[in-house]
Parts: sequence; structure tokens; C-alpha cells
Amino acid sequence: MNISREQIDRIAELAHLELAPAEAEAMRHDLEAILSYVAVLQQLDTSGLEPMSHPGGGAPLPLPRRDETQPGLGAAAALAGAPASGGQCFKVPRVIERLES
Amino acid sequence: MASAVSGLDAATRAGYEPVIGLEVHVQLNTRSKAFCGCSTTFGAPPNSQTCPVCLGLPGAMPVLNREAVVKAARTALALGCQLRERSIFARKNYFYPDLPKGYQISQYDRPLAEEGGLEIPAAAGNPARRIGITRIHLEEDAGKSLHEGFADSERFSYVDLNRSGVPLIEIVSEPDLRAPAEAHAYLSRLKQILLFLDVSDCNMEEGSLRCDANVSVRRRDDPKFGAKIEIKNLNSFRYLQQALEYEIERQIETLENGGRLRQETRLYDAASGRTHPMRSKEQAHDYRYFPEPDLPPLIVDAAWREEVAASLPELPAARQRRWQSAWGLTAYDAEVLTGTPAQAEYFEAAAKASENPKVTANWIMGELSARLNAQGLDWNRVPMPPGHVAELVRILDAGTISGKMAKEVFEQAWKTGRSPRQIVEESGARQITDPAAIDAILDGVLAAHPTQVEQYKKGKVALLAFLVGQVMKASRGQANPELAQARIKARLD
Ligand SMILES: [Zn+2]
Repeated sequence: MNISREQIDRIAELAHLELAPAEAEAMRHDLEAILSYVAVLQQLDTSGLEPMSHPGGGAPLPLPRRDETQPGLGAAAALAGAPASGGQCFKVPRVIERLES
Repeated sequence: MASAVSGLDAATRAGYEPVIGLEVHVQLNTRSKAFCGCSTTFGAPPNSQTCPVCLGLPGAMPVLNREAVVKAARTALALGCQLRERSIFARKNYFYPDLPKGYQISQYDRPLAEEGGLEIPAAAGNPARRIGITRIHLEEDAGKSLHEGFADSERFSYVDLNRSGVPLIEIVSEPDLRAPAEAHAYLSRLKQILLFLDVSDCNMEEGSLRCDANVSVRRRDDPKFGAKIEIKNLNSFRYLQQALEYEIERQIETLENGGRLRQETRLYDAASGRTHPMRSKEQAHDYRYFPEPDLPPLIVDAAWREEVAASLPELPAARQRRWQSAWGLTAYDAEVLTGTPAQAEYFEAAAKASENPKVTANWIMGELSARLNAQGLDWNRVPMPPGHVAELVRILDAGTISGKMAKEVFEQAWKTGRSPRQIVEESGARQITDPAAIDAILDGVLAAHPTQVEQYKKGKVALLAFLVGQVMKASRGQANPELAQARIKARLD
């Protein structure tokens, strides 16, 4: 399974990671090994099997909960671990455009 | 606001067909969030409605809110969609400060519902048309980023996670819309249905209803769609229409000038009335969806599905048909009276009690609506109970008071909150229906206007209305006008 340097750069960009050239090469090597292993598993015939999206196995599925509110953490506790806060908000370097709605 | 890029002539514009699809995000009006018990109340102090789950703290596990599923399923059934018995949640991965987990829990290749549709009314010469709905899926909202209003807003953004995890449904239409006005009609009709279903408050200012549009243009003789441009930020009906009008014009002009269009995401800027492209780096998205391992598949079995189907209310289109066929209302009146669920309920209650739906409709659409508008009240807070409108219509139908008196009684009832029957009884403002009493008034009128009486006798029949008017005036509006007219004719003809 071959992974190109371009693919590594793209994945790093999506993950917001900056990789030094040596790190990128190490990552490329590791990913090739992982995907080669998965490629072996892929050879197994799984047609007719329901894809497993959840590790619940055959156990009965937990039921959804009732629509009832519970007290949360409170703003002070919620913000306690934030590197920066102000106005009871999390504070981050300025971002302008928004991708999702 | 100018929407035109420049003056494209009508013939050039007519050579192209716009192709539009809408993606509508609807906040469900559950009490608690989609995957945790935090409150969804709008306007609470920042970050006061958060917990480890909606803050994305490590180890916190989501548990699905049953009511969110019910509201999503109710919407799906009302829009004629196929409900999937087993749907799967998926992680949609992207980085943004108001998305604390680094992914949004959504649905991807197995959404809750697919293949529905919605009829938009006939307009501008086009017949009523069904607009396809591709899919409806359940997801969670992100938090809110605040970019303005702080002393250091030049350098920092502020994030409030109260909205993080509020349940949403995304309703994706087929690219079936062909004009900005049709997109407007589709969104209005969709909003009306959502309100009747009681699944969302659909408040666009507070962001409970949000809209993105996909728009392209193609030459009328070209079966292929053009490059699809996505426009975000269309958070009012007016912006939706303006942005589409601008964007369609821009695309046609680009093509006419020999340019090419490429697939991209643009933002609508309400201040300039224009759309502009998002910076290309932020468009390089690839959400790398994969199944959400923290949530089991969502199973909506036949029993649950039947329960939801049984809870569906009568939808606006069905009510309109019933009011037209059983009560003889016009299509226009039925449409107006189903403007909101509260208005429809008000009319329904008043019409049943009065047993005269058409006249009741006139009072509600006329006198009552005018007063609500003047005082900025909505149909959820009408000070006059529907029974009072019904009572007034019944008194009027019984001939106890005239139409003119009824308006005064209505005014009194509105101002004092007292019942129309009480007002009529106490004021003695009953209509005069006794011929002898009318004759007594008529004696005075005939004596006071000898010239007009003479002219009427000589054949100037138009003066009949004048004489009836004088009787009404002399009786301070209490005389029954039909009876007055009959008495005048009996005496003078
Ligand atoms: Zn929470």
C-alpha cells in the first residue's frame, strides 16, 4: 500500500498538524504499514454481513432517554480549563469566516 | 437594495434557467439537548447551559434524546418521506472553535428519512408544483462564535457553547426550484408546516431556522446543470431572495462575458447585497465521515413509527381544503387563516361556535387582524376570546343589531374585554325591527325633507338611499336598514 507525500501533507492539513519533513516521512512509513495490514483484512469476504457501526455486539440496544433537563456544570466550571476566557466565554484567536451552519 | 451586478437585458436573462436547491437547518424545540440533559432555552448567560458532553470533554458519552427523534420523524412523515428503520449516526470532522469535539454528530449515508416532497402554491403563471425532498437527517448544532462587541474583538473571537448539542434536522431539497420567488415560497410553506407540527419555533432572528442555497444556471437548451455554487448566511426570507437574485445575475453575466464558473462556497453579505467567495483554504474541506461509535444505530420500528404517525396534526393544506369544501371559504381566506397554528385554532374555535364560518372569517381577517397588527400582538396573545367573536356573529345573524352597530360593539368588546351580548343588552343598543317604531322615525324624516320626498315621487329613485340614510341617522344607527327601506317604499311608492 503506497502513500504519497502529497497524501500525507493533505491529511496533515485536514488535521491542522504541521509536520517537519522527517516527521512526515515517518508518518508516511507508519501509515503504509497500517494500511497494508488493513488491506490483508479487506480480503476477507464480508458480503452479506451488516457493517458494524457500533461495538454493541448482539446486546440489546440502549433506548433513547426522555426529554428532561439536568443541571449542567455552570459557566465557571465549564471555563475553568480554558486557556483564555472573558465575558463568560471561551476566548480564541480571531476567526472570521464560518464554514458550517 | 440593488441586487443586479449590472444591467443584463431581459432577453439574455431569459436564455438561462436558474436551478436552485435549499438546505434548511431547523432547531428542534425540545427541552433538553440532543445528547445530554442541558437546557436549550435561548438567551441564557453564555456557557451556563453546558456539561461534559456538549463541551466535548474527554470520556463524556452522548445519549440520544427520544423527543428529538419523535420531532424529526414527525417532520419526515408530514413531508411524505420514507422513514429508515435503522439509521446510523456519523461523525463529520472539521475544526472550528465553536465545535469543541472537533466533529459534529450527524448522519451521513443512512439518514433518518429520504424521498419526500412539498407542494408550493401556484404563482406567477406557474401551476402548483411538488418540490422533491432528498433527505432529512438528525444532527447537533455547534456553539456560537461572537466576532464583535468586545474591546479586543480585533484580535479575539469569543465562544458560547450554550447552543452546542441542540438538536437540529437538516432538510435537503432536490434542485427543483427554478426562481428566487419559488425558493421563497418553498421556505414559507416549509416553515408553516414545521410550525403546525410544533417541532420548532422557526425563529429566524434567533437562528432556529437557517437556510443555505445551491444555485447554478444553464442555457435553456442545455440538459446539464452548471457549476453548483453554495451560498451561506441566508438568514431571512428577504436575504434568501436577494442573494439568489444577485447570484443568478452574476453567474449569467460571467458566462456571457466568456468566463467560467467553478464549484465554490460563497457568503451573502446583507449590507452590500452581494455574495463573495470564501477564502479558498477554508473551502478545502473533507469531512472524513465515519460511523459514530459512541451511539448505537437508531431503530425506529413499526410500532414507534405508527405512534408518530398517529400524533400528526391536521396540516395546513388539509385544513384549507376542509374549510373550503365544508365551510365555503375562498382559497385566499383559507390560506390567510392558516398563517400560523394559533390563528388557525382561533378561527376554528370561533367558526364552530358562531356556526357562520364565512362571516366569522371576515371579522377575524378584518377588524381583529387590524387591531392585532396595530398593537403588535400575535395570535398566541389575542385579548379577545374566540367565543366573543362568535357571539357577535350570532347576534348579527339574529338581526338584533345592524352591521354598523356590530362594529361599535366589537370596538367596545375589544376595549373592555366584556362579552358582545352583555354590551348589547346593557346599552340597549338593539336594532329597531318594529315597523311601528320605524314609521315613527320615518314621520320626522319625511317632514324634514319635503324636496327630496317630492323628487323621489317624481321618479328619482336614487334618493331612496338618501332617505334610508336619514332614518339610520335619526335612529343613531339602530334602525334595521332593510326594514327602513321597505317602509319608505310602502309609504311613498
Ligand atoms: Zn450538555
